[in-house]
Amino acid sequence: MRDPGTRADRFDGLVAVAKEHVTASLESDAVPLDECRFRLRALAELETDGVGLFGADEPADADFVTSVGNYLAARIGTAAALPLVLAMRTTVATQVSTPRDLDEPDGGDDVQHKFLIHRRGDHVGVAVEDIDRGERVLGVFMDDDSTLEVDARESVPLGHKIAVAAVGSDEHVLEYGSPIGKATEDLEVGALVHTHNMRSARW
Amino acid sequence: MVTVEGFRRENGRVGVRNHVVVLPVDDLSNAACLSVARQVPAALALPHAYGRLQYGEDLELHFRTLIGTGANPNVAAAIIIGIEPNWTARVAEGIARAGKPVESFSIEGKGDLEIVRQASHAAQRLVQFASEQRRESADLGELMVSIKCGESDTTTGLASCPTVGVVVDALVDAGGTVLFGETPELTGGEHLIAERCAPGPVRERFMETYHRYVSAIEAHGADLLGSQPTQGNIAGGLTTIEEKALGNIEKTGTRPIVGVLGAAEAPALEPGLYFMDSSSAAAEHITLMCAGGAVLHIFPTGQGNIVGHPVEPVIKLTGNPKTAGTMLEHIDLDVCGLLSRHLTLERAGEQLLDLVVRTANGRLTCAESLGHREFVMTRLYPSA
Repeated sequence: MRDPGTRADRFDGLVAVAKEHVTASLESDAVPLDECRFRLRALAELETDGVGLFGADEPADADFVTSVGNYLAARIGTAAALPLVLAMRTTVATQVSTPRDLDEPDGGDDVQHKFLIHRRGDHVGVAVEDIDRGERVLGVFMDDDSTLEVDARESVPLGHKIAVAAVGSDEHVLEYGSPIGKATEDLEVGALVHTHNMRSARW
Repeated sequence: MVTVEGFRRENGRVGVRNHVVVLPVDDLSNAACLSVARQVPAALALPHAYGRLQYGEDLELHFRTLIGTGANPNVAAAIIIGIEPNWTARVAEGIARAGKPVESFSIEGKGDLEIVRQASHAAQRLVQFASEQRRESADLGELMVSIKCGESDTTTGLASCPTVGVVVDALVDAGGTVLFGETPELTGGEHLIAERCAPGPVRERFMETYHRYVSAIEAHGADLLGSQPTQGNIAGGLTTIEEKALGNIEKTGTRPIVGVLGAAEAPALEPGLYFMDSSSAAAEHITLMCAGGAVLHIFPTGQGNIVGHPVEPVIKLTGNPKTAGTMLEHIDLDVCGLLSRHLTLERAGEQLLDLVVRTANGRLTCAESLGHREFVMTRLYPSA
């Protein structure tokens, strides 16, 4: 594996890649002028703040890109920062070992997950992106990283729950390994689970 | 050992801000306090709505909140203004026990203008005194930190609250003290908190506190369906109080609970994780924690709560990518990468801890930079 070099060595290159990406999105009319100016201003601040924020002498590995990405996300928002991170990764992270937490979000053979389940045994997962009705979606169990696929029976907006196990009417629904309420009708796998088909067992 | 640069006060406690507060004892004295802060803009007026004809436990809580706020290590010195001398003196004497400079004024028999003149001279002296206080190195564990989440949704349980949990464990392990509360919002997970309380008096006091709060709600002829979860919570995907509570509890980390505090009560000297009986309303909660001595608040949010506090800085983080994108001026740390799994919980915790240190060292939070100064007294029942 190639020596990644230090973060100080690669910092200017990373910022340049991000700037190029913003400029390209302006030229292709993908992003409005004001928004591009806003993003370029954030990149100029990043240059001014300097590599010292991220540990100049540490290796320019994938974590470095993540840190720079988080810096940008805090200033321009995650949605705007994500493409810049991906562009920066092509210059740095692919050449070094990639920790599991930096698996390609939509690359390789992996299909990107669309929901997370707190624990094995839970009846519901939580959408981390908007899920369309009829979509086959991948979920990841947070306690052991195992996965499962579910066919969504309904649209499930980000943050809402999708049933990963069938639950009978009046039975407890489990999340975090604990009861979070009772089903008010039979829940089928892939159903949206919310106030229309579940209620508190406490009040 | 992680260190911060803080203000060590006369009683040895460490603060992260250096305010001179102008604190009204009652609603009538707000006008004079605000006038003083206009004359001496470096002083910080803390207007609030109460303080007349309160009695019993409600009055005791009022005094405890005012005294605790003035005594908080983020305060270098305090000016107290009240309508009449007895209650004014009581608050001033309570704060003076922390060893810091306190000057007090009562308005009866003199009028607003004369009191504003006298108090403004005092405020000028005290802000000059405060301006010569210097930051010095202190252990991270010397900070008292409080936590509470708001506008929760399912992303708080997945991302921002677990991130806070990592930092709470780190603070406790560093010998720090952390306060959490939100009594009714533990419903559905109260047994998990009870299990972490030391068996015996601590656990018994926790369960007694919890049941008393919920009984009080029931005694008002209401359940919380319709307000817990809130409309904002439900819009964010939370369905029941149990689900909300289990997400909230994620932020308390994993360490044992060493004590149970009444509202605005300061912990004993023993460090560790404390439960404080408190409402879940953000501004009330932070005001009580600040009065208990917390100098820095960590606030995970889902749908985007914007709360700040005049004395205790509030660091906000979110794991909701929509909120991070649309409300970035309110979000100090974005941990959305936990949902996309670009970020591990360990690294999210490191980033938050780094932000805690930088904020303790003087970095302004989003809420401070936007002028959010929500100072809200908790009331237990109507005035006489």
